Amino acid sequence: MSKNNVRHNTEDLILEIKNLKTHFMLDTGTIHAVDGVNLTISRGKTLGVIGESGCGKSVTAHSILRLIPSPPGKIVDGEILLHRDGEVIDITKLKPTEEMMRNIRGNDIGMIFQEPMTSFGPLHTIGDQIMETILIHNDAANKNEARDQAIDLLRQVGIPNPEQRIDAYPHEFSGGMRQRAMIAMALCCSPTLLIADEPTTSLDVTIEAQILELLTGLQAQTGMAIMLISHNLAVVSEMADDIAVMYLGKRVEFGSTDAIFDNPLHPYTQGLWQSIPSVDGPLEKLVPIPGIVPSPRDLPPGCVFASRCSEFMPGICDAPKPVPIIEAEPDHFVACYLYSNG
Amino acid sequence: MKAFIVRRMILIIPLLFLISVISFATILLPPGSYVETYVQNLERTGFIMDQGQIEAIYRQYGLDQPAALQYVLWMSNFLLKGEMGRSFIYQRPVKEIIMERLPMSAAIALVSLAVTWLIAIPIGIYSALRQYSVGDYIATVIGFVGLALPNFLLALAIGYWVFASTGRAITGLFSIEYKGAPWSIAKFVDLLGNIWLPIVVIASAGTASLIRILRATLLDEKNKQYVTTARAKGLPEWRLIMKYPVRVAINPLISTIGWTLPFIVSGEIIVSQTLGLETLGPVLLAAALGEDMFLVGSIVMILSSLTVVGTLLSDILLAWVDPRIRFERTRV
Amino acid sequence: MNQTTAHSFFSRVTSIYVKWREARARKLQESLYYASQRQLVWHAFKTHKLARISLVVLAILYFVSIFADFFAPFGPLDRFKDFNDAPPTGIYFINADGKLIRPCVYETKRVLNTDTFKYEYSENPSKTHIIRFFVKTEPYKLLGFIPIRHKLFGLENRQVPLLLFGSDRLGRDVFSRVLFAGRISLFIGFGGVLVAFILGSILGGISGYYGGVVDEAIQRVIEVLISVPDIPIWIALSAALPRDWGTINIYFAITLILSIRGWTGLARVVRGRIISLREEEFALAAKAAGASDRRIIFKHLLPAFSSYLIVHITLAIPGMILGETALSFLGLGIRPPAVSWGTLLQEAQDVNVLANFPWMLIPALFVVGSILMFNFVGDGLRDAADPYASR
Repeated sequence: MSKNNVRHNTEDLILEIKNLKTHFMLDTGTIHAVDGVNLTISRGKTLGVIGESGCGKSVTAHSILRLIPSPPGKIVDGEILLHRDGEVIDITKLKPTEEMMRNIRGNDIGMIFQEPMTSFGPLHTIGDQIMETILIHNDAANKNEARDQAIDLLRQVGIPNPEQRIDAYPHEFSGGMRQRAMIAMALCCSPTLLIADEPTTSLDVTIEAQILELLTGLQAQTGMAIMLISHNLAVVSEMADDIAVMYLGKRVEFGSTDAIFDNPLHPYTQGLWQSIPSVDGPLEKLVPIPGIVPSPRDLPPGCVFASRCSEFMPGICDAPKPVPIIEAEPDHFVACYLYSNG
Repeated sequence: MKAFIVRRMILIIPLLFLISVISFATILLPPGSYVETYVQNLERTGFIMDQGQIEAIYRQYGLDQPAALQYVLWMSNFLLKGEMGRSFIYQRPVKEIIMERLPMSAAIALVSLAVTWLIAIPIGIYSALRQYSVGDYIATVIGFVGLALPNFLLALAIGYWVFASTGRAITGLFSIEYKGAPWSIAKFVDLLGNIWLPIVVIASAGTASLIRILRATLLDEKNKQYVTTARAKGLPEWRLIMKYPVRVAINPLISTIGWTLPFIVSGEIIVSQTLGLETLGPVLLAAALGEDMFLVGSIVMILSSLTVVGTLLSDILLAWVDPRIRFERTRV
Repeated sequence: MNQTTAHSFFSRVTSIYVKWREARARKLQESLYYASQRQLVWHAFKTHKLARISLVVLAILYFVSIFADFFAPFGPLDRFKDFNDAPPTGIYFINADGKLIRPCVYETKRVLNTDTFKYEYSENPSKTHIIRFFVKTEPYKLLGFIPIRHKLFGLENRQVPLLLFGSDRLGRDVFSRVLFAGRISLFIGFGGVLVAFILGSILGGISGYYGGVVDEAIQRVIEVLISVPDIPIWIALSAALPRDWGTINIYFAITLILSIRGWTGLARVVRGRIISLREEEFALAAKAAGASDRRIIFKHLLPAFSSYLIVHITLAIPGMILGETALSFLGLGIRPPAVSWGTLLQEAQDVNVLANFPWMLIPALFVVGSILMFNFVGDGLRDAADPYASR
């Protein structure tokens, strides 16, 4: 399976996810939130992860930083390989609370979340929470240096008057400001990878544009990689170099942004494209994907999309075996029987 | 913040006024006036007063005046001179008796409050972080029993247990040899040896509900987004739990001081009576049984006022530690 | 029956049982579709095991104390001469030869131990008295008007003491006194809660519905009452009760005193709910239809949160029981000869009594037990009142 994913020079790779399976053991049954996902992220590039809510994109992101609450959540299989200074660390083998893991969090990998309103602790100033990150990852830094650095960061993310605003409490910030501060906090140790989990979903459209612009600008400056998780196709198409499409815990399609947009292969991806209006193209009828997402509790055998697929092939798609991953064109992978020659 | 404190201070004035009215009403409440009871009590001891002396007492306390005027007289005496009338049981000014006993009462109440917190916070945190563990269940069961056990019973039971295992009866704050003695290190040590029982008993009554509140809030807070954020920054687990959700969960506890404090003062009175402590409790009770109403009314007023002031302080403390409340309330 | 038939028999029984359970569950499921709010609450409550058991035990406790005349072998003031501070009487099921016999007690005599100069009680196994159920006694009136001449249990010879919980300083049966005391201690909670309920709903309702100056004034009063410690106030007020009042007067006065603070919590709940409900559509609709204010409050708003009220009341009762116990314990509540659990405990105030006559603490078990059970029932009701929340 891994040969499918080697398309970049390994030196450029910063994160490889191989056959990741994160399950939630509940009283009522096991939820296969992430069920065999493969992803690669290269230095300085942006990977867009796209899918409906509940498809496992957030769980994948949380798995990378080992933030899955356990119990009930557990990584049951797979590898998450972090390439750092020539060495390769398998994050799934670390304990969530161990020092190496804490070192990766915030230092190698920064993360910003969907809810800027609740992402800061309410009782400490913004500055305190940013400085804290600097101080835990840099033993040499003292408080004043950390403060100066935090003010710099706030200025970089476009917060006016950072010298004063650093002492403000989260509730004194607006949603957009808080997300900027959140980005500043995620960037304060110059991570090589920034995971942005729906960073603009709860923001106004105008502010969304500003935040995305800010992220692009910061990426150009720092050369960090971004894993951008979103259900918004427009956002992803604008930002991402590569796109992974997820459905019900599976990665159904993976390729460069151009390949995925110009030549969507998987029926689900095609369905997604048909369900959004295009501004400059000819007027087309919007086609929703029929049916509803099946419960992740009782996944159908075979292809998970089979029940909603317009190209459903009885006896093939619902055969109880894993769907093969096919490299339909160079560096463009799809998990669908339509493209298997045989 | 200043505006908030001033506003709260102003709001407390009508509260204190109402308390003083209620307290004074209890003085006037019993059938038969204070002086009648006073004279009867003296007659019982064989001292017969003549009409002139009786009238002198009436005038002294202004008891021949209408109730409203009597109140004004009583209050102005209290506010200007700190005088609150005279106790006929003790044959001393009420002020003296209260000043003698109040410090110990206040000390016991405050230390009990502190102990309540010292017990409740670690248990509450443990219960929330290890939800459904054996320890959590034990804490819940003990909490329920603590809730249902009247504190005088607990005092009796522990007192009996100490007596049965050491042969020493805890009666009072000091052993006999130190009762009248001036303060010394030895006397203080002796006090420590006796005072832990009432404090543990009084504190136990309030811990159960504090644990419940802390556990519930912390269970709620520890799954919030900001905790995940802090974890994603690479904070050590213990430090992040203490700094973020625990801090947030402790704040509602501060606002419960408002009702824990009256609870503790009540418990202090009843436990003091059970264990014969030299605090205001037994005096209040003796005064009530003897219908020494100036003493009763004054103690009620002092205890209630101090409780209200304590509540005010806890409100200010809460605003001080919680920026959200400070923000909200100064804006209003 | 050999093993295989036994096995098939059991499997058949099991399958019948399983089918019956399924049918019952199905029926329940169907009935839940049409259930009223009250039925839903009741159904959810029944699944709360501890709460359900507590409710049953409390009901038994109330029943027994109402009919204490019948259940208690003696009256609350009946005295056994020469049986002061006697320990619980032993009950024997096996005679000297090791044979099972009807439960009986031995005749007990008080003797003075000449070494310690304390009275001791020695049993005489040769003289037994059998405990009989529905034993005949001198005629009395149950609840004061039903003529009856039996007690639930007792000895035929009424002069021989049968002291399940021992006796007190005056030689009175503690068991009987506990049952009679339940009448006052258990019902003072109801009385107090009733007063608190009426005051709380009326004042809270007015406060919430009208707002403005009235609301402001009521809120200030509530604030004072909440922030003031209640024991001192209770002590002051009970001290003011006339010494010559009879038991009934004292009882009602104490009930009132206990509910002085009790109504405030309820009033706050009612006020808060009314303020939020006032804006809801059904209240506006009623107003638009020309209903009067009073009608809106009592007919539409109060029933809308009756479950809140019931939970609140259940959780308020133990506080009242504790209050009465504390006041009586201090000598300011119910006065002898009336008995309550608090007055019984008053006699157990000092360590010497406890050391020598520990059975005097038995009434405490009733206090603690009934308060615990009220708390369990209240918690169960609180969970149940929101039947959709936990699913």
